[in-house]
Amino acid sequence: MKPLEELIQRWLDNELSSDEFRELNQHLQQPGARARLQREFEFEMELSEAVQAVKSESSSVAAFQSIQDEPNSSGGGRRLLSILNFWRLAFSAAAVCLMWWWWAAAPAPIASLEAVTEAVRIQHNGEWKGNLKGRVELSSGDTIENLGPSNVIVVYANEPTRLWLSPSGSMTLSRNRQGTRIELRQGTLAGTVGYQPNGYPMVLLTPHGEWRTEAAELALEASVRSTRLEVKRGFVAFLNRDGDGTVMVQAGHLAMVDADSKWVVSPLIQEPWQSQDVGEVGLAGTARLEGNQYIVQGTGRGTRVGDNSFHYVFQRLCGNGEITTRVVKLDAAQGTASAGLMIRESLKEPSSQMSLMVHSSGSLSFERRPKLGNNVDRVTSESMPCWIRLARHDDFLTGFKSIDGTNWVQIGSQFLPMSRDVYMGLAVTSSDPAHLATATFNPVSARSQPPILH
Amino acid sequence: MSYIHGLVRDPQAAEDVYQEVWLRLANQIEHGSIQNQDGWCRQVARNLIIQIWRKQKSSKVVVDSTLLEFVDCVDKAYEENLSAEGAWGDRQRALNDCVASLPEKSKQLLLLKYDESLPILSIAARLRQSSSAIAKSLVRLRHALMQCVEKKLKLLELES
Repeated sequence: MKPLEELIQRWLDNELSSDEFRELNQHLQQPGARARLQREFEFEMELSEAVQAVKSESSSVAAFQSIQDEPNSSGGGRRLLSILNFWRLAFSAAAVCLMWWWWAAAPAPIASLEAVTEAVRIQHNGEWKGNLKGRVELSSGDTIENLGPSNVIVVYANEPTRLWLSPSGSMTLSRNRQGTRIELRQGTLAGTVGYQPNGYPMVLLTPHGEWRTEAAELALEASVRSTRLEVKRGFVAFLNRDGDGTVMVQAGHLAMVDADSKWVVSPLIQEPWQSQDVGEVGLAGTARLEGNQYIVQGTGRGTRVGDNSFHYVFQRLCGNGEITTRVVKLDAAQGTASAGLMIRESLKEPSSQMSLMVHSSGSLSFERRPKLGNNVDRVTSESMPCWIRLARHDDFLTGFKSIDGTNWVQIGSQFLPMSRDVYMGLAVTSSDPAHLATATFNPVSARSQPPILH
Repeated sequence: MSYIHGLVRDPQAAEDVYQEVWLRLANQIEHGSIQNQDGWCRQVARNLIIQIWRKQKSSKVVVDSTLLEFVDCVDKAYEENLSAEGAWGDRQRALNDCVASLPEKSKQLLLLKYDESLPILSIAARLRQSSSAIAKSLVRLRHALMQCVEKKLKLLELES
């Protein structure tokens, strides 16, 4: 058997054969051998660090090679070799100058843009370029405008940072000695910020402030009116435009800042619940949990129009099930706001949906809307707080209301075929894209079992 | 880090694994404390490293029972023998001095191996020597550096 140290070195040099591997494993059955292995691994890393430390003091490899290349033949052969060496050196010098000029003129790429379509534009050195496809390299100072219908992906070089820029998104990326920066003018940037060098966090700028992180999984949404940040992992430090203090946004939390620099940080809703805007809403909606209360804000045009838009807090439902809540409060900034329960087929519009909505005007409506068709409403009067339940049994959807959450009255039952997998949840709309309505739901329960029809 | 470095050997890939482990550790700590942090990190790193090996088609590394047995041994080695953190700084400084005092040719060999990360065959071609000669030179160099570091640490101990 070969000595242990030799086998470990051959592993570190990637030279180990299968038989040698088995010998190494045999050696490593002994505790002393394992201690030796750990020491060798540590030494290997320390040696790598030491070489970097003295690198700048060493002469170049080329100079070393020139020592090896010293001519050792005699007479005319030596002279010819000298001439050849001179020209070789001259060529090398010219190539180095050319490469240095090219490197100085062309900044090294810091990232690449993936899934590029013809609808994406990139500004590089002040010049806009379009009609790009596939993968494009990005340098510091480049601006990306995503005018297409799908996300584009920014993949940073030499680190595991990967971010998606949404349609209508616009961002500029840069890197200097202070670290990496992204200016997000509008749109959503979501994904993973890989671990940044110690003391050099990634800086994300939006119209409302500065967001810094050393590593996080996040979604940052910016518009002229507000910035919204969801942190799923890691943490992000927020410094608003006025620069008066730093707020830490931890994993599982959401931060919102508006144009007046008013900010709020609250916990995100937990899985299996998710939240998003459906349709063209205007101001972005939000959802947060305060104890057992779901506080949901939404804008949009409503849930009874042809092209619905609202904020939706939902989870998946496969087959039969029901969702129950008590609508505690509904604040409409202006106009008639609505909040309630919805079961729908798709998160995109148009979609088949059944909803049971409480309105700020003091009514309760049971709304059936097939994907292509008109709404059918059953409207009754109702005041808040009120208990409501929406249940699905095969292709029938039934609405219930209750005064106390125990004794239920059926409002109506409608036939609306949808696919087996649907979404059920809470819907909130202000019916005004420019103003948010806020609804409070407490409690909320959802189950995917056959309902008991009263 | 030496655990990752020793198993992965490619400095860039090792750095990626290291960053990913730290990101996951930061996330895990947000949700609650971890009892055996070193063990947890090693487990995460191990899984990431095995994924990397599986993706590397051109590598000599074949993910089979022999390799996994080796990784188990490495895990056990780190579980049994945690290095004293306090000594690390002194060891690194001593090693830096030892490398700095090497003859120029030895330094160049180390640069090719640890800075340019060239395989043995490429180094042999560059220096116009056989690969076995290069491998032996590296073994002798490492051994000499280890002895140099031990001497310096002993001197340091006597002075303190």
